[in-house]
Amino acid sequence: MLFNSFDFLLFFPIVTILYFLLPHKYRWIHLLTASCVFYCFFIPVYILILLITILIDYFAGIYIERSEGKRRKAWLVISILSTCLVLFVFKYFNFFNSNINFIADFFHLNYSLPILSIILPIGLSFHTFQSLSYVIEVYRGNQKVETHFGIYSLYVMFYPQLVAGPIERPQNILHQFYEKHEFNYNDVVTGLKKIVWGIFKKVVIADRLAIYVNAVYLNHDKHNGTSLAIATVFFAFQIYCDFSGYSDIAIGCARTMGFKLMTNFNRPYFARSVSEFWKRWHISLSTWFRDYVYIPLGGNRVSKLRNYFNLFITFCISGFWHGANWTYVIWGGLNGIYLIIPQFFYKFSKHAGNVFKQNKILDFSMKLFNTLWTFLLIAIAWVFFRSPDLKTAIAVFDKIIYKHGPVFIGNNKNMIFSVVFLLVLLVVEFFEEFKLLNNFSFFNNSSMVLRRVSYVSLVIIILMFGVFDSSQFIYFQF
Amino acid sequence: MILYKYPDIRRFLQSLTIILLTIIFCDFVIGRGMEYLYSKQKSGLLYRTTYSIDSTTADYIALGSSRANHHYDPKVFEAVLGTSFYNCGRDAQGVLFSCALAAAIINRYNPKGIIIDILPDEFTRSEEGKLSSLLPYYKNEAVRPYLGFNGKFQNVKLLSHIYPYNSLFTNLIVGLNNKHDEDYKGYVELNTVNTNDRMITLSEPNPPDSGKIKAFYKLVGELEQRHIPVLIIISPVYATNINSVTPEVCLNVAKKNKNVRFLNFMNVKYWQRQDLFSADEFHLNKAGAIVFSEAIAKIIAENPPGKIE
Repeated sequence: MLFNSFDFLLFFPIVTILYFLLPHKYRWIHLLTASCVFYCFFIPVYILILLITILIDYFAGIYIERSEGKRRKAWLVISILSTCLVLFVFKYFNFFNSNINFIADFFHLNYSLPILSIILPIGLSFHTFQSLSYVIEVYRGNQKVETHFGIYSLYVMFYPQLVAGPIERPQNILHQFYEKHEFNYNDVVTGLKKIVWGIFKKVVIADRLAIYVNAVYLNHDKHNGTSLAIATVFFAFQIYCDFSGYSDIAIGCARTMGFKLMTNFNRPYFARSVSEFWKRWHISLSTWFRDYVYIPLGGNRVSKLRNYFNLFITFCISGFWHGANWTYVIWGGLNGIYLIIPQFFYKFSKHAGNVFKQNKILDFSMKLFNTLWTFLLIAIAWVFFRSPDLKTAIAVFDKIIYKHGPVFIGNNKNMIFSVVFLLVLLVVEFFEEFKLLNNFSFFNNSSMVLRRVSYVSLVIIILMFGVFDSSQFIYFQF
Repeated sequence: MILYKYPDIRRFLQSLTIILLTIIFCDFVIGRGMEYLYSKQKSGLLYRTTYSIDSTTADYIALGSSRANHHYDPKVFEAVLGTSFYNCGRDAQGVLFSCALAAAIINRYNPKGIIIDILPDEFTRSEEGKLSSLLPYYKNEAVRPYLGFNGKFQNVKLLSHIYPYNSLFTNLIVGLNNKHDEDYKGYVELNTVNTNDRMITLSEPNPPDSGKIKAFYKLVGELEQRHIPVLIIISPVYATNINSVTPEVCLNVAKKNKNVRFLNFMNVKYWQRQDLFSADEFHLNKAGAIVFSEAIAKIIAENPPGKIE
């Protein structure tokens, strides 16, 4: 079920109201059933794949807790390998198969394994990682094993974060399923505000920008570099509004029932360095890779060269997590390189920063430059993320650098709406980021009238300017 | 009241009621305002569709997508046939839009002939979400049945007064200007020339849309009953087509109804002159539209109504 569908508009209030009406001991059954229904709106039979992942890691958790030493580690490895095997079959088999095919062709070898014609189960990478996070935490002793199969299933399947996160840690969410959440005005209102803001970001901004981005990127051979550059900037905001919009709705849905999920986005395009960007973008995934890949590889407590390697490889894997395509690997690798290069100039940039700080104008200019520079670097990487293959990405770069011309506008209406609402978003986030006008906010204003006017206005804007084609969220494909 | 035991719930319900009532009120006022603006359109896309549904009495009409809109020049038809012609084609639409328009038009009068331009992959593409252009006409009994194809829960969504006019704000403002005359009797010419000389290959990877095919059969059947001659055309496309579903459906419809004729211009080399006729892969430019309209008008002239086989 899509958050931006009419089905969900019915599903959400029914599930939430029933949740509060039911006695606490039955609530987990209710949430688990609702989550199954939510998932079955996609491809119902794929719920069995989810069940396999749940069974593997549920029992692995129990065996890890019971064992010690090498056996404990063996159970962890078995669990990780089996969980990843499911991911491999559905997501990566065809990628490896076609690459091996390519190499075999190159060396004139006889190799022919058929391509699997299967559809990737929605959100597979997300619940796989959430599941893995549980077994690793149990292995590390940070989380007690969950023996209640229903609650453990709910941990993996909790509908708000089932298909696109935030990827939760068991320490944050498991205990919440045992807590009795009474109806709380602040939680419900905060949750609903998040949901409405998330829907605004998705249907008014992301889906509107998508019209231009798709028109240009799907016909990149017919557009000049100027239009492709604009489409790339639009894509940067499209993917942000699409994914952070999803996260806001997910967090909001959980919050109405009293569950507190982790923050996933924190105005990433106001970051002044790529390193800061990754502390603000898809935080649940960034921290997952930090805790379960980067630090186990040695993190930064190793030689400089090894540290660079750790960073690079972590980001390449992160890219590969997004999709079975070399474009994603390069996108990840490029972000890794962005993090490595500044380390060579650390002393110089620190010194320059100290000098600039002494002059307010210089300091402001430096901060502005850093923000724009970071955005530019991130936008360059998005070209790989958006392009269907490397050939397209290279063609796009070639045009952006060498072939300029008049800007393709397409539909005037779309362009006007895109720019206007993008500006609205930037102004709102600018106020939030710099806490301007005494931390002014429409949604959290002390004036009840202004608050209510802002809620109503946002709903009316969604009705008037939203794109209601029930388009999928970009991250669902991962 | 039990709610007094739960102050949080009471407070929430109070706020929710106030906010919902305000939303309903604003939705009503703004929606009615947009409806008024829609009725006052003097030119542009929205005006043309309204004119097609409510006012045209042309002897011949052309229905379809942007391809219909840019391919059938009324001046040429009027000159060759000596009769009136109106182009009802609209960008980003498909056969269901054509069916809805045809149904609304024949409720008022019987045209002498109808041209339905079909997309090369018409019957394997979904129009879900793309029929929102018909939402402002939800009160029209002939149009209403087709709104269901736009997606689920349309009747519930139409409880909102703003919803039918979603994303139309700028169109409504522009359309108030009667000097915005980009068309001649619905036809909008394209003045560009296709610079891409590489032909793409079109295929129909999706399964046939049975609901769409059924609706098309039904509409054509109704036209047949009213003895209105129908010319189903897949107009020229600058691409190599390996499609079979859509031409087969059109052919079957033509075989079943004696007043229906099907002309397929896909893969006809004469029309695939990129530097001369095409504006892009899917559209003829002004020069191409004139030549193509002349060819179609002559076919109609040689087979006047009632004589089409």
